[in-house]
Amino acid sequence: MQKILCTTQWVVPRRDSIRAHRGFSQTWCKIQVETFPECRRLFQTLQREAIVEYAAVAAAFLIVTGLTQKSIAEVTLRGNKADYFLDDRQYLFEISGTENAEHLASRHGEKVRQLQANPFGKDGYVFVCCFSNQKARLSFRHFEAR
Amino acid sequence: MENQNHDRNLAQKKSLLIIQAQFQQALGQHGEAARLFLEAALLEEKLARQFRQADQNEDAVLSLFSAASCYKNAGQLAQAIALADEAIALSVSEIFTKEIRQFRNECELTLTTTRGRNLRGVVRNGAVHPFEPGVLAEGQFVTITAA
Repeated sequence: MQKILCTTQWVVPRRDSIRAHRGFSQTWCKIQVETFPECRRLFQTLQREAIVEYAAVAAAFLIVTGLTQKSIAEVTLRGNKADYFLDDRQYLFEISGTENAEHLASRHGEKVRQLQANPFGKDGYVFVCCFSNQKARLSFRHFEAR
Repeated sequence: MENQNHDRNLAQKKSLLIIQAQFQQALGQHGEAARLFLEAALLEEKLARQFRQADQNEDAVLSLFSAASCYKNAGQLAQAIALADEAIALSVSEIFTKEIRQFRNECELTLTTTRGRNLRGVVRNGAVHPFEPGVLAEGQFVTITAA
């Protein structure tokens, strides 16, 4: 029997450009996280960082589709790094997760710079979430040619 | 960019395979990860062909590089290099070409290392012998494929 682990509100800062870009008025969404049987065993076989990253990807998919009405289109591989695309590869989607609340802003900034320098020349979304204070940042950014 | 000429189901299936393969890799299930990467590579190659037929070269390059990366993760370095070469030939983005070239060089280096030193030391007369001490430096690995 699966049980709900938590219900949480993920707050997306108003200053982010989703609203301006797509005209959406929603600035938060609620997601329920469910466990699967014996999921805690994952901690015995997976490194903590990997669990945080996979959890961030799951949260990102739920939130971006809820807030921007974009579809998760594709995952491609670039060396060992996975790239996530939205809407038929129109937008790149950078995702990261952290357990430390103090790292949220800096990690978001780091991911924004990474997106703005992406080799595909695509605009995209950046999502970073923090699991200790249940906050997340989602923003839309244009590619910046260098 | 209009991307209506490729098979979306194929793209979704391939995406799922990549995620599963990476997950298996993180779990340390390298055999299963390699199998999934290989499956994903074949689908990604198919997508690249579809993009090329539709004259969407930029997307074809992306798929070719992704297929090459999948082959590399599956331990098939020669195939990874061949696809990287194809991607380089088709790519128009300077920054992306540079990245693919770097990836290609890494594959070549690994291939040369395994061919030139390790495998020669362990495979004789078609049979695989136990590793000799000192053949493998710390952190190096070999991929042995049955003939």
